[in-house]
Amino acid sequence: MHLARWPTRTAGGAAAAVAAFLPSGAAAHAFGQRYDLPIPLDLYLGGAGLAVALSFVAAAVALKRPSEDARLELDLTRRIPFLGPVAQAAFIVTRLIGLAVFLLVLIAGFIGVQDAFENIAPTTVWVIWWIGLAYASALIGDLWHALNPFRAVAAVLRRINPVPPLRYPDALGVLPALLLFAGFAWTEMVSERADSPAGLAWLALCYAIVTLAGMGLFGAATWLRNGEAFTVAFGLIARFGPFTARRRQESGERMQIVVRPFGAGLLSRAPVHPTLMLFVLLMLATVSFDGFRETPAWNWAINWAASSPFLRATLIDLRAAGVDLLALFSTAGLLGAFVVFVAVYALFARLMAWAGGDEVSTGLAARQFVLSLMPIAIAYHLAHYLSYFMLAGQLMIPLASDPFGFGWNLFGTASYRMDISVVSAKMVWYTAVTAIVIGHIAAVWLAHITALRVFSTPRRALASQYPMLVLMVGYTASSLWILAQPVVETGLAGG
Amino acid sequence: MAQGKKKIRARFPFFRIPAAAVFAAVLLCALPAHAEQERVAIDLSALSASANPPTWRVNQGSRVEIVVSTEEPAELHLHGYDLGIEAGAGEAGVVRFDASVAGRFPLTRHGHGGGHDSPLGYLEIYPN
Repeated sequence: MHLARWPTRTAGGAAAAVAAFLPSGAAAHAFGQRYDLPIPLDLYLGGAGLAVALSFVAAAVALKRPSEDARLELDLTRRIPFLGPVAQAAFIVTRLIGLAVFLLVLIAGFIGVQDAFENIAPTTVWVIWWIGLAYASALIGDLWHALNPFRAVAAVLRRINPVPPLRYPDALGVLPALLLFAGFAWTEMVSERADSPAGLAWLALCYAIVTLAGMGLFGAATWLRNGEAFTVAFGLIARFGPFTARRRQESGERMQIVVRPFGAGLLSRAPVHPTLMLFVLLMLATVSFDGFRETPAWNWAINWAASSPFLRATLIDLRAAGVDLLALFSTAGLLGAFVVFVAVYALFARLMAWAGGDEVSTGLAARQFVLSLMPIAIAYHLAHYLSYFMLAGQLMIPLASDPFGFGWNLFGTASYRMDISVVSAKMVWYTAVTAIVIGHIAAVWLAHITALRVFSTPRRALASQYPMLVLMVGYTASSLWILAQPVVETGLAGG
Repeated sequence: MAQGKKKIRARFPFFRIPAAAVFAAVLLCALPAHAEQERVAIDLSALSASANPPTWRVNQGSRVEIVVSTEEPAELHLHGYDLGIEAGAGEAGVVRFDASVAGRFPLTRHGHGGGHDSPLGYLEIYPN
């Protein structure tokens, strides 16, 4: 996602001069341009210090009151009459909305004006769906579950095709979702296609075909759980959220709406499947690399690589063969980030198992504790995109009136211009640092509770958490470091 | 009676701190009554040679004047504020605006056959 040059409301009266610079069919590069100021040094150090200090508070709370899952949850359906049936009806409506929006993106992408700002598809997909829905999932609950257009189709599919022709090999876990998510992350960060409405519509269509095929072959529920990348991704984020809906078999498939503390949904007794662990690590790597690739350090690194005598000849050949070197470096960076995350996490899982007296294997420890890292990634994602979301989200106001760029004015808002003063830089700084510190505390708390469940004695549990604490402080501090870097657009010097 | 007096005396410093803070805040708000002028001079011919785009810093609330000098005609664009600057050979391009919103805004060149335009530099407007 890289939209540049979005139309904004002019501060002065230079409207005439500005008109010349508005995107007009030219290749609009960099859709995701951010105007964030780097976090000042004192806030960065203060946030990091606070995270370290509060780690011990979080650990003490977790150790003093080892909570049970059941006691953390409150069943709202039992307290509020008719909530269950109302929620069930609401889900039908939301799925129809999800289906309608999906079709709108396809239609706009294929028939609308091919401009990232004048067509509703790119903003709907990248700003509202990918960033906005991640926010809503973390702060409310699994709204993708409610909106997912494939679920709407799944209900129909189950009628036509009650017995799927193939049995899903359970040993694969969420491997299909992992591969599809990797492709999605690459598209988002590297591919130029992500900005073009038609390119986006083609990708969405291909994804829909893959998903429908998967649902038809292995059964809708099975494929959604294991192969639908966004059910898995938003589902993981939503485990942080306070609300969850589930169907209880014992109460006759009745819907249950449950409220719980933030992050409590990430507690799990059973270790996650290895592929789900890799999925979590890929999400963390993606989120971090998304920020890192805009830092001067990354720019320096790719320029260093491009000018190193070792690589130079190969790179010149590649460019002569028509390879986009920046895309090549981004791909390598994304892949490298994933490898680094897996390697570092494996090392710390080994340390954790060892510090806990080798009661559990390294692999088991890794699968038990990986979810506890999610709050740090969620908080960083929130902090990173806060001002971008508030600014780019405004693009929906004119787009709602003219979704295809045909010059319509359905709601009279087509001439709305983005107001860059809706968020103050200071508010963004303080919200970002607060979110990151809270995410860190939640992570430490989760890991300690998990440790008490995994290890036989509180002493061993506590010992196992020293390496984990080091890992989490390091992860939080590097997230803050990225936010303290000035945003730069990467480019290769010397053409 | 004595107890009441003690209570008042004990409370007094707590009154004083916020009162002083409010007074200081009023003073601070009153001070920048006329916005300070900030001038950013950009020499395009010198810029193109450097690999790393520079950052120009100004304070929020100031009146900013960007002066662009160039050897060949150039059209520049300040993102966010969405301002255009046109500069000709031997004739500096000037734009003036109030730095009302803080942020880091790229300044890019336009009209060079389109395509990829990486920023010439960044204007950072710092909050007070």
